[in-house]
Amino acid sequence: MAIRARSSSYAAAAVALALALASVAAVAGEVFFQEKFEDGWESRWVKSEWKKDENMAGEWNHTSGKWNGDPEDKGIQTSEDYRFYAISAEYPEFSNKDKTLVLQFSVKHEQKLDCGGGYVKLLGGDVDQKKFGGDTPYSIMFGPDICGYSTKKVHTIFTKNDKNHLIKKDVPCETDQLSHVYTLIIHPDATYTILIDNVEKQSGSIYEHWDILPPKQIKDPEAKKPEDWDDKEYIPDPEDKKPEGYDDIPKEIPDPDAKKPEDWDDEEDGEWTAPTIPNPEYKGPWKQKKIKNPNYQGKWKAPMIDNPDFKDDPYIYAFDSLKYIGIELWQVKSGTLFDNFLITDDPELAKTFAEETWGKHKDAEKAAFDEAEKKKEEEEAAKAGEDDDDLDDEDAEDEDKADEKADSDAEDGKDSDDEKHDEL
Amino acid sequence: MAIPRISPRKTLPLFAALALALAWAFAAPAFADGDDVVALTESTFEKEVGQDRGALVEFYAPWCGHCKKLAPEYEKLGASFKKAKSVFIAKVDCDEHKSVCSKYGVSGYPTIQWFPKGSLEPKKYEGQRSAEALAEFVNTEGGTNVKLATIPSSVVVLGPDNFDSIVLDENKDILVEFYAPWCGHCKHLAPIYEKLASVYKLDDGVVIANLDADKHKDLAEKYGVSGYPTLKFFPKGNKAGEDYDGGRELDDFVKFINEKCGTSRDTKGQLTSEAGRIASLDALAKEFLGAANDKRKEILSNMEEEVVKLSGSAAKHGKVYIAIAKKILDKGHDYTKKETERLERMLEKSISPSKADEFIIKKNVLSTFSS
Repeated sequence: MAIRARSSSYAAAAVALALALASVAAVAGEVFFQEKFEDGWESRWVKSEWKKDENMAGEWNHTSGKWNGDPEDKGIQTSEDYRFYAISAEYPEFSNKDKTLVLQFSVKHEQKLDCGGGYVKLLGGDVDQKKFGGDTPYSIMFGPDICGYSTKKVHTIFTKNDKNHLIKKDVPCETDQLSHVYTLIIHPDATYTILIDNVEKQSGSIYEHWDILPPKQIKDPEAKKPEDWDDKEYIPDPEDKKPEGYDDIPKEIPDPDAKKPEDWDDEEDGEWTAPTIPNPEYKGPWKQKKIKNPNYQGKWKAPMIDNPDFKDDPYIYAFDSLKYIGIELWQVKSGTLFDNFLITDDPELAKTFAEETWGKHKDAEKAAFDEAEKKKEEEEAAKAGEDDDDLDDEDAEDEDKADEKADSDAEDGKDSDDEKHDEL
Repeated sequence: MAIPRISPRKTLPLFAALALALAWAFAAPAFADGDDVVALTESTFEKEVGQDRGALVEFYAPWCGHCKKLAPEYEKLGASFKKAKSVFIAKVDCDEHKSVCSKYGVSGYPTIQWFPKGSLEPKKYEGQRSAEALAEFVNTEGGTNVKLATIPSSVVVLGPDNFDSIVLDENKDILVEFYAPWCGHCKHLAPIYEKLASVYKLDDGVVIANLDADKHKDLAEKYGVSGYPTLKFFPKGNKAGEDYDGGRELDDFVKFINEKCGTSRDTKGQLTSEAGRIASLDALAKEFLGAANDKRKEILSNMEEEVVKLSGSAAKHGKVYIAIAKKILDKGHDYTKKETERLERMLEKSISPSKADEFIIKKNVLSTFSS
């Protein structure tokens, strides 16, 4: 009953949105899930009780953040440091077979994040949302992940045959403190596109950019390198002969600057010999110079053959069941804000949605951020400049004393004199 | 059924914070700026590289452990090629000059690339990271024939052909370092071990040796070597060998060798004031000092009887006692003072190390004939 009502609500919302955007988009697609975190969002999202018993489950704030383009456009933000965050929402189950799938959301790391994730998971089948956590199987994982200098990437992970497959391409993510929209598009021709702020960052074939299937071709295991194959890139230079007398060069030679001490007594001390020094002519054991091998044929490579283990899967891109969306994170430093989720089969619709939400507000958000930074700097400067302020006050007093013509100033001066007189 | 699942960044963050701190800690001691390796910057890179000389460039980061390990080899390489006209050895700090490093596709540290004369299309070096291997590569690519600057080594290099004849010599004490070329601790130990061998260069009874145990695995297995470096001591009386478990600084080694081998060297290789002293003869020398001339001749005879009992270097040192005693009888007591002063003057001059040893022993023995 409740589920049916929820589905009905989603369907209505989807239709409403589609109708609203009909004049903008050429073709209105289907919306499977949309979340702008407007009033009533809490009834759609289930906070997991994962890590709750350990007192490590973090709280979400419903907020637009410290700097924003529209205070009324709120999202959810992590609020406690060193906490796990797990929250999910359900939508009508669907499969993306023979359909385009678009997953899009915005992330803002207000906290100047040094190490933490900002990614999202799509899950299928039946999930107990109260137990959603790090071990819950998922279908797709997508979004930014930052940690130190070495990790600044967009994760794109597909789970197939109970195994997580990471994208083989390195897609850098944004690392500043402003909102950014992350869009993943999976096409039914098994290609994909990743955009950040509606700008394409990576695209290609799922076959080639993930190792989900065994390779189509492999090196021929039966092939052997021919015995006469010359793979030595360098050979000893036959022209380079050891110079005559090279081995006779001593390691050390008598120090030519040494002199027999005046006190030397041949009878008492024996015959004087000079101490030795390293011989600058000594070059260590002789090594024959090497030259490029004129007969070099390159490193031998086995020819490629069709892989007998390869089985094509035209639905490599597809997931039979997509039913939940979840955020599951560990945050050392909290402050990551999520907003404007959209799951649809229409890339143009997603693009328009991004422009209407993030796009409309990004400049104002930037201005607000710059203002906040400026204010912060001014406050810090003000603290540092307290002594300067005192000096200014002293100057002002001097000016007051100096100016005897002005009545009000004169009065102040008199009062000051009177006070001094009283003290004396 | 447990499904293997990727959960990025669950426990690493706590460690990552520490790792970052350590990274900065490593960054603090700056990479040694030797003159022999050209330090290139974003602005100077293309003014130097791809011009009229070939260039070998190391792209590094100050915090990178492998870069630190490579540094002494790379400096040695730079020193050797310093006078070469057609090639030069350079480096780039990628923390400082990110754009250069990303432009040339540097994704790990250290990355070593060869830029031919007139070219900015590098060839990546993937050989062994030793000065010898790098010099060979540069000589081949650059068409040069530069030899590495070589300091003569006093370490005896062991192999299957000479191991038994040297190590099992019953008349000598042998210290053997089993090492591997790729072992970081071995590289740290190498200059110390080199100095140790130099200290005992003149002691025939002491041998400081090493063995590439990676290359000669059978010998390593025979002596139960499983980690690198492993140091084993093969004294005169125990050719099965005993593990050296002491400290690995020069002081520690010198103390160990002096105790075990009866030598008297300091860390500079010079003899100490104990060198050449023989207790029984010291006692007779004191007796000689306080006796009248008639009695002294008798004591000299006693010394000669004692010396006959000695062997090895002790016998040689005993003869010094006899010679000095005779000189005193012949020239009077002033001899000890004058001779000591003469020897000290000569020790300040340039004399061979073996003669210096003789003089120090003589000086030490003279001191027992002085009040």
